[in-house]
Amino acid sequence: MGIYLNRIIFFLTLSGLAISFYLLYTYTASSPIVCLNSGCETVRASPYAYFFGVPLPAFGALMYVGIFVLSFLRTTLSKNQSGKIAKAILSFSFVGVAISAYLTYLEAFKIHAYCLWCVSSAVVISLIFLVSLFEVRRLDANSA
Amino acid sequence: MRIPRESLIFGGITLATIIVFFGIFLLSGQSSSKAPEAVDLVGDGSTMLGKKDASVALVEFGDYQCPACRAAEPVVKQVVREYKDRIKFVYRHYPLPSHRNAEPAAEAAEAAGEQGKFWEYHGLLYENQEDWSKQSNPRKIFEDYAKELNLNLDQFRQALDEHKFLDKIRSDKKAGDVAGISGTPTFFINQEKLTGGFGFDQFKQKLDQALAK
Repeated sequence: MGIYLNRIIFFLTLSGLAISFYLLYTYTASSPIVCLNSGCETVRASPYAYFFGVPLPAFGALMYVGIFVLSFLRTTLSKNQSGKIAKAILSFSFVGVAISAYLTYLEAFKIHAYCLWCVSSAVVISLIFLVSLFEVRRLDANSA
Repeated sequence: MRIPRESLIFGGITLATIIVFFGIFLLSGQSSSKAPEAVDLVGDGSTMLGKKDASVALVEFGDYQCPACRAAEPVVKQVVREYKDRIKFVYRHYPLPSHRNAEPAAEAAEAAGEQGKFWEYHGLLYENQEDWSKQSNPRKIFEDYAKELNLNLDQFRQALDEHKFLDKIRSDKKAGDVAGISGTPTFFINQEKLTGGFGFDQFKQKLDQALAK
C-alpha cells in the first residue's frame, strides 16, 4: 500500500514539476514571438507575478523539486526513516496548499483572470497533500 | 551497492515523463493554420493600405502594447512597401486583456484615422511603445502625438471621450476571436494563417504563392 501511495505522490510531483518548469520557461523566454491571449498572460502581467523580482513559478518549481527528492529518497530508506520523510512531505505540501490557495484567491478576486496552469498546479499540490495525509495516518496506525 | 527496485522504477517513471513532456512541448508549436471560410477577415471599414481591389489581402491582428507586434512592425512596413501595388494590407485591432493601455491606444489611432492620419499615428504608437505602455493614464501622451501630427485636438479629444471607435475595435477583436487567433501579432494571407516566424522572407514566400494562384 505504502509503495503505491508514494508512487502516486511521486507521479503527482512530476506533473507539478512539469507545470512549474513550463511556466518558468514562459516567464523567462525573452524573445517576444507573440503576445498570447490567455488568462496566464493577464496573471503574468499582474503585480503579483513576481515576488522580490523572482517569478512565482520558480518557487513552485523549488517546492516540487523538494518533494521529488524526498519522495525518491523514501525508496532507498528503511521503514522508520521513510515514515519521517512522509511527514516532511506532508508539511511541505501543506505549505504549498496554503500558498496556492492564496494565489488562487488573488486570481479570483484581485486579478480577475485564471491561469489554467497555475490552477492545475494548485490542484496537484492539493492532491499531494491529501495522499500524503492518508499515507502518514496509515503509517501512524501501523506503528501504533 | 545494490539499488532498490523501487528506486529504479521511480527513475524510469521520471525518464518517461521527461520524454512525454518534451514531446508535448515540441508538438504544441504546430497549430492549425486556416481561418474558417465564413470569417470576414478584411471586415467592413477596416483601415487598409495598398490596392483596394487586390485579390490578395494581408491582414494583421495587432495590439499596440504588444512587444511582438512592435518587433514585427519594420518587416510589415517593408512588405507593404514592396507589395503595395499588388495586395491590400489591413490592420485590425486585437487589444489583449493583459495590456491595459492597448485598447485606449487603438482608440487613439482610430481617432487619428478620422482625421486621415491613422498610419502616422499607428507608427508613432509602435515607435514609442515603451513610453506609454506602462503609464497608469497614457491620455496626455496620446494627445502629444496628436499635436505632433497637427491633428485637430478638440476633435481628437472628443472622439476619445465619447469612445467613438470602441465598438469598431471590439468588433475587430471579435472577428479575431472567431478566426481562432491565440495571440498577437497574427497575420493572415487571405484565409491562411502565417505561422513560424515573421521575417520578410516568410511573408514574401507566402505572398508570392498567393499572388501566383
